[in-house]
This record gives sequence, C-alpha cells and structure tokens, in this order.
Amino acid sequence: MEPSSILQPISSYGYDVVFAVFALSGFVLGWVAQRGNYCFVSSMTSIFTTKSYERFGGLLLLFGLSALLPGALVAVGVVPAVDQYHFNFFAGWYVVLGAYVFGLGAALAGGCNLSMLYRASSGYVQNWLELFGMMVGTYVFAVLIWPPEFYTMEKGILSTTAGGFVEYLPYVLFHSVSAAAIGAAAVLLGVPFVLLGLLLQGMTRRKWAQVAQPVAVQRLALQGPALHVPGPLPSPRFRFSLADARDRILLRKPYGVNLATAILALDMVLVFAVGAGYTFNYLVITSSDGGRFFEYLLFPFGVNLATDTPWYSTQLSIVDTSTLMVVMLCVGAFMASFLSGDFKIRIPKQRRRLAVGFFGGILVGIGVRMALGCNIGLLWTSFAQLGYDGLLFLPAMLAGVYTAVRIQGRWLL
Amino acid sequence: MEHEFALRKADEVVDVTGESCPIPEMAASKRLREMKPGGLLEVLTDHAPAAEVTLPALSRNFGFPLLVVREGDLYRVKILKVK
Amino acid sequence: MPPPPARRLLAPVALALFAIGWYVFSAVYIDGANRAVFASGDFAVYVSMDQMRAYLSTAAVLCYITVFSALLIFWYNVVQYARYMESSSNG
Repeated sequence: MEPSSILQPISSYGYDVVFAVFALSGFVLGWVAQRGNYCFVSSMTSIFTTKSYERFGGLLLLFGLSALLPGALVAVGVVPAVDQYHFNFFAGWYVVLGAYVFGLGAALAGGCNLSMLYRASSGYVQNWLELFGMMVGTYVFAVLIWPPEFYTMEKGILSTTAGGFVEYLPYVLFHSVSAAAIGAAAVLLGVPFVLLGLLLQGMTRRKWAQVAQPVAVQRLALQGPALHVPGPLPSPRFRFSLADARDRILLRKPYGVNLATAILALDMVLVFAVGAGYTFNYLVITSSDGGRFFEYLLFPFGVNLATDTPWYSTQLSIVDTSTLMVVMLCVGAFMASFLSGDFKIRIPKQRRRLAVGFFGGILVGIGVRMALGCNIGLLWTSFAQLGYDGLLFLPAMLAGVYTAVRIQGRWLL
Repeated sequence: MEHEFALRKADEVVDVTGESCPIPEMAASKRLREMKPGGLLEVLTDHAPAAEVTLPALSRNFGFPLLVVREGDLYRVKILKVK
Repeated sequence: MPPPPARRLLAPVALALFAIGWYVFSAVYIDGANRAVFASGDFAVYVSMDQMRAYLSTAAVLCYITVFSALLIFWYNVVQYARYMESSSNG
C-alpha cells in the first residue's frame, strides 16, 4: 500500500495561529541570524580563504539537528509522517546546476538568502541591490528557464517525476514510513552531520590553541582614538555563564555560532510542528518571496504577473505563511541591529561592489528558482524533511562558492 | 609589539567600509598572502562582526598578531605579517 | 561628545510607517490580486478566503505590535536626545 498523500494537522487551531507562529519564527530567525552573524555563504568562503571550519561546522550541526529533531517528533508519533514528506520536491539536474549558480551569485554578492535579508534590514545597501537583483533574476528564470525545466520534470529527463514519499529517505532506504524506518533514517542522516560538524569545529579550535596567543591586544596609554579591545574569540562551544547571558540579552555581545545554531534548530522544530498539516511547515522559502515581492512591486502599476506569466501563474500562490515570516524576519533583524547600535545605512566605498551585488543577486534569483529553493527553503529544509535534495545542493553550492572566491580573488578584490 | 602596531604606518590599507562578510576577510586574506613578511596591513571596516570575529579568526589562523582600533563606527584592524 | 545620530529617531519612524504600509498594501493590493486570479479561474495560485482572512488579521495584529514597539523606541530616544541637549547646554 502506498503511503498517504493527505496532510493531517496535529490539532485544529486554524490558520490564524499558523500565520502568527510563522511570523514569530521569522522574527526569531532574523534576530538570531543578525546577532550570530549567521551566513551560509561566509561559513563556506572561510573554508577556502582561511581554512577555518568553525562556522561551516556549525552549519553541518544545524543540518544534523534539523534531521534528528523533526525526525524524532515524527518517529514518536507527535507529527504524522505525511506532514514531513508531503512537500518534498522533485530532485533532478536543476537542483545541482541551480545550487551551483546560487552559490556563485551569493558569494559574489556577499550574502545567502538569509544574510541578504538580515543585512538589508541592517542597512547594507549592497544587499538591497542583491535583493532587487534576485527579484529580476526570478523574472528571468520564470520567462526563460522555467518552461524547458518544467518539460524535463514532466518527462523525467534527469529528474524524478514525483516528490513526496518517493524522495523520503525512510521510504528510499527501507521502503516504509513506519516509526522505526523514520527513526533509523533520521539517525543515519543526522548523526554523521552532527559528528562531522563537531569534528571540524574541534579541528579549528585545536589549530587556534596551538598558535602561541598571536592576538596581541592590550589597552595602550596613548593619546588619540580609543583602542577597542576585542575579547577572546566567541567559542563555538556553548558554555553557560550568567555574565555572558546578560551581555547577550542586553545586546552587548553577539551570539556564538553554536548558540545561534541551537536556537535556529529549535525555531525549525516550532514551525515544523505547528505548520504540520496546514502549509509548507519549514523555515522560510525566502526565494519564493523574492519572486512574490517583485509581483507585489508591480501591482500598483496595474501589472499582475499571477494572471499571465509562466511560473508566477502556476507555481506561486498570491500570499503564503512564509510571506509574513520573511517580513517579520526583516523586522526582527532590524530590531536586533538597531537596538544593539549596529544599524546604519552603509554604502560600499568601492562603488563597483554595488554592481557586483546586483549581478550576483540576479544569479541568486535564477539559481534558487532552478533548484526549486534556496539555502533555507531547500538545503536546510531538506534535512528536516528527511529528503535528499540537500545532499545534492550542498556540494554544488560549495563548488559555486569556490568559483566565486576564485573570481573575487583574481578580479574583484 | 603593541607600540609597533599603534604607531607604525600601515604598508597597505584595504578599505572595505560599507561591506559585510565575507568580503573583509577575503580581501584581508588576499592582501596578506601577497605582502612581504614584516608588512603591516590595515583593514578599514564598519562591519562589527568583521572586526570582532572574522578578522581575529583569520589572524589567528595565519598566526599573525592583530590590533583593533575603534573610531566611532569605524574599525581600523591592523594585522602584522610576521612570517 | 558628538550628538546621537539622527537615524536613532528616524529609523523607528520608518519602521512604523513600513508596518502600516505593509498592512494597507496587503488589504488593498494582495487581496485585490487574489480576487483577480479567482475571477480569471486560476486556482493554482489562488489563496482561499479563510487563509486570506487569517493572513490579513495576523498582519493587522503584527502591524499594531510593530508600530507600538517602534513608537516606544522613538520616544525613548527622544528622551535621550533631550538629555543630551540639556547636558550640552549646561556644559
């Protein structure tokens, strides 16, 4: 018997609660990402530029936890399995190529779909242009790339022709969606990522410890500008101290990588459980909203892409729970940056970075739509879905980021 | 060592004000690789995470000493290429 | 001591205007576009009345909360400004 395809909510609380919880989770996401300077792209560039794995290890931890926690909720029966696999997308060539183009564009522009939004809200003009570039890129995709891509998806050319349980790892591995199969798949997917993340972070920490205290910073009794003395590097390991907690709550100190990772993983669990049965119950599909905001910008001019343009007229609902999530992500990020005194409108000294930001944004728009999602709505979400699209997305995105690092190093820096 | 930092004029200055991660560390990393040993690099940034987290991490990875001077919103991050 | 930057007063006002603008835009244009796709029979992107109502009512509540918080920050910063002006005129 085939697994069910009908969504089942955990309880019937109605859409008001779902919209409100998604908005809250967006606020938390924006706030925490801003305080933790959480960026998928810079965690990857730091591998290539400084051989530091601290932030990339944090990212792998996030993926591992996101597989284990929602997996556990489904395995113990709190959330029905159908709500976990229902929104699994079709996998195919476009995920790999799209992730590559996305990684390239995001690393050129200086922001993944998460950091683009929270930095745009913190006043970085370059990220405003990236965001606008992404909207334009989505339109380019919709008109030029979507029709042939859709054709290959329909015909199954280098693509699966169905998502849902067909791409659900418990079903792929064990041909079952029983509690035991789901638990085993969550462990098989999540544990290696958690271990690899911790291992990579440990490697970087050991390397730092071996360097004989090179950061010589002392307050000097000199006339002139005040010397700012940075404290010890925020440890990726989460250690609780009251003074630290107070400084973080009072916005004097940024969040360490693993504190931000833990909060983001819990945020994913909140959305996963509350949205189950109602909607796409994962953290933001910011790329869809990039497309949506372009559509919105044109409404006042009497242009309605939803009625007559490919992709917009078939794939993009007018509004979604993620819309409020993205809006509140921006509000949360703005609040965090403003209250910590960081908010400022910033224009890059090198004006060409603005053009690079816009061009990179176009690539981001094209890439995320080709891949059917961005680093949040596809890469990270795929782990929480116990799917395998993220396993295709991650190496391709790394390759794109690597290419951008080489291009930046040779011509743009 | 600290006096050398504070008083010596930088051999090279990278101005990445207005830009965010990963640009400051990428630009600094590139210049540090190109510089001769003994050179002093100054990175100008107004992106707090760059001055407080990523550039100190970069200098630690290279094993180079670093000093951060804050002037209002602007950070002057000095990194000495010792070897 | 330099005066606090003007953005400390302007940014909360901009946030409050954004929140109000978002709600008004949603009620006028997003709801309007949803009716338009319904009229053209495009049910692939149409959002049901129940969901649209929930979206608008949640957006309204968020608008109130955001405007309230923004004004709270605004008035707090006005007080900070007044303190600064007082101390600089005394000094």
